Amino acid sequence: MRVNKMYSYALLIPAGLIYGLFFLYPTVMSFFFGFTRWNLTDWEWIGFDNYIMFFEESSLMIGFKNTFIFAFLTAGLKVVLGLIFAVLLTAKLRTKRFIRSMVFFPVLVSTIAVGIAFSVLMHPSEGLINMVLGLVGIDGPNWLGNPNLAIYSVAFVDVWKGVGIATVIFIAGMMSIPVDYYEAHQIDGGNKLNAFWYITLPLSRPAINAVIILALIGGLRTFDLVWAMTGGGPGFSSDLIASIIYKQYQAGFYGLSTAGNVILFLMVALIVFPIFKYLNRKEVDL
Amino acid sequence: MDRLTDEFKETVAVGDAVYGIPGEASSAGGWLYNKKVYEELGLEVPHTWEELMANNEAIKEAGKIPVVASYKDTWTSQLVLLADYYNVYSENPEFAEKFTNNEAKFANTPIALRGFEKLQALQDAGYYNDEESATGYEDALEMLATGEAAHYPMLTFALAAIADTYPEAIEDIGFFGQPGDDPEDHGMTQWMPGSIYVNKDSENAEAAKQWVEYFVSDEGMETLMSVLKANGPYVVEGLDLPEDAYPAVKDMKAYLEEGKVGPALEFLSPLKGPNLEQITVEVGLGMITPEEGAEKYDRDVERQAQQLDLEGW
Amino acid sequence: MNQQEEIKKERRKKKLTRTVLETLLVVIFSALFLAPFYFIVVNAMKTSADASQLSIAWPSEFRILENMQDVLAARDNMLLLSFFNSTVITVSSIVILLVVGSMAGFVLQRRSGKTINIIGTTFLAGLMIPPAVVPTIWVLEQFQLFKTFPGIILVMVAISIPFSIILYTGFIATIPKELDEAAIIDGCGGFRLFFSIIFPMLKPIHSTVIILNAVQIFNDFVHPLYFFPGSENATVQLTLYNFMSMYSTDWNLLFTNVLLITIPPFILFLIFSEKIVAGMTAGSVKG
Repeated sequence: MRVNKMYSYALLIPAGLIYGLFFLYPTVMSFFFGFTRWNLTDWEWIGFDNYIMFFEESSLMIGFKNTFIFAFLTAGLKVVLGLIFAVLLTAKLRTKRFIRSMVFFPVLVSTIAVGIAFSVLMHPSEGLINMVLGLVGIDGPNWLGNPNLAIYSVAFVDVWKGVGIATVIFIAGMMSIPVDYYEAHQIDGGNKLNAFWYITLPLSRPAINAVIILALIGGLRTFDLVWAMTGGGPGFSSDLIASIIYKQYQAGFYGLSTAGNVILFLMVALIVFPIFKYLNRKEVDL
Repeated sequence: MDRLTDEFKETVAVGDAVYGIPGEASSAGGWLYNKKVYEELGLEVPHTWEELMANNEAIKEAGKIPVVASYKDTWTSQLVLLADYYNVYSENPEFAEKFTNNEAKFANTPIALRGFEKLQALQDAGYYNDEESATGYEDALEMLATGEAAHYPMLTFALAAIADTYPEAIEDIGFFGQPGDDPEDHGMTQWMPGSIYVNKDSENAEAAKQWVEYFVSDEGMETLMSVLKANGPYVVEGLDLPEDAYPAVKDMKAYLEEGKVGPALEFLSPLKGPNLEQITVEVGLGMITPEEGAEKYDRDVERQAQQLDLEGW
Repeated sequence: MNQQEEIKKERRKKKLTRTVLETLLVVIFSALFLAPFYFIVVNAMKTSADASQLSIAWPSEFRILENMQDVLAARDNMLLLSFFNSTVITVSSIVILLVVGSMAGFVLQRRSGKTINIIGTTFLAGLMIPPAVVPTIWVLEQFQLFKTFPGIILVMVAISIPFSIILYTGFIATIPKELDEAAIIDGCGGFRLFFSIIFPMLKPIHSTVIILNAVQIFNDFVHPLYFFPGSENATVQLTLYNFMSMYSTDWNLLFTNVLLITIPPFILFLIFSEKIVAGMTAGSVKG
């Protein structure tokens, strides 16, 4: 009785209403509209046609591969680089605040602006990146113009832009590790590398899990960076499912676009949910 | 109204009634070329695709870029295909109608497929610039204007941009339609101008009609010419280009006089797949074959027709 | 040489290598993270012709003020309009988010049982589920909210609720339940308990929620593109395309625009930067 009064469900209602109406309801409806030809006012049931179209068309199928590559590559790099940066930036450095701010700064700049700037910097002959590489004798590639490379180049920029968030989360995690652990380790004669392996890494596990999940989910769903840098090209070579959804929407193919949404939803669920379970299980084992 | 060319009327007519007048000059899709480069190398304007490729070879040997591909601005990649439509129109005038009615496809109509093949042939022969996908429309204009490159397949509205940015070069820029295989049938693909329509229910419909008549009269057109330089021929018959018209526009007039003009496909069919520019990039870069490109585009169009629920699809 | 001097020398040597290493670190990180911004800033100061070279050379002529004027005036002061639009969207979304998110987080953290677990999981699922684009437009149209401020604001709130709830529940877990009991004994009802006792205690995590969401919403390109289209409704991210047309790009103005629209997130960062880590350390990430 008292619990009910103190923690009344009424407090949940505003969030529930907004979330339910403007997020859950459209999501549920997408399962219906994905089976239709639809112009927002009228719809016609066409069964699995939209889905068949998605799986038959190579320019749509490529989105699966790219989304997969993009999400795992960016998440992996953000974890690895974020950890390295966090270790460096929790060490006794006089300039650590300055460097921390630098690493975090790209997070503040809009994705579109970053994308536009990098598409200039990645110009094969006149871009800054290849000019610098040229100075050390490396013949830089056509980052965005090479269909086999474009999606990786965009992923690289995504890591550059997003690693600051990962770093901050790791720093927060590491700072909450009690200093005694390290002191005890030192007294036992352990070295710094061991301290990282046996103290920092295991105790940063919750932070690592959070970064993996957030980065994966983000990577699976975004397309603004791709849009600003390559528009999905050359051809369709760097299209992501999310950019394909946008293109179908732009073309007025609302049913097809919604089918793409459902596919993306299932893909995220199939990838992220098992990983989420797995990571949490490990946490319990510790 | 009688003064308008038939090709234009076809695009604004419903049944026999003509509903619009041209608001400006038309433009054309074809090959802009640098006349100085042609002079230097002693080349002639080609009248067949073979001659054009021979010219390209000579230009390449002379160390210049034969053709600019500016795939950074993906829309520009469609031009070789779209500008080839005169050749389709001339050989197979019903193509547009059949295409609209789901009876003809790019992939199974050899003459329509040629456009995709030409796109690839230029890549295969190495006639494009390097870094196609990092080159934009503006870069392409510069390359053409400076003579670094000899050809740029483009819509002729680019002439205004060239005249604006490289005023001294505009006199050196010429135009020819994308040639087919018959030297006697070298025509150009025309893009119709934006039109002016009168609302017949409007209170001032009469006044508007009078204004429209004035607009297409010699006097009206002269006024238009004095404020807006033409990027292509006017679709008003019996109207001469002013003296100071761009040389490339004068080149276009020859096709008109010989009646070797066809409207672009987009003025004859409502179907235009949304992914054409990505597909032409793929073909132009050699990522897929012309056949694959044509099939892909046919499916793109099919998807559009189905999603828009057109009859017969 | 005696031992003390030996140690001193050793220390000095250590100090020197340390300084060298630190300088190296700063140089590497600057090259990695600041060089692109240098490129943007330097080109924002140039004339149109200079900037079209897209080089990192120092400007031959400083035009930053003129460029700013041009950018502000472009397309009938579109940038000012878009600043207004983006600010309205961001501020409104954040205010709503702080209130409804913390309320929900509080109940979700304090209660236990099957029902609340299901509700909690439903909210969490929103982290994973990509927003269903066209159906959302359809829902907005049903309520006649498509292309309106309330429409885009509610969608932004709905999308941001799951992550905010995670942050709040994590933080609220660190507030002892005994406090609630005491407040109830003092005669507080549920709502008063929350708003007069709990809500003010959430300050550190509010900061985290504000900066993470405000930057995201202000910098959002995709959702306004979908749910808030129309030239009157331009948001700041769309203004970047003012200077990029099918035919030409004014790089100096484009980069000046980038600088101008980065100012608000930057100010937020200056205000809240210390608190981001603090809020996270205290709550969520520790799990």
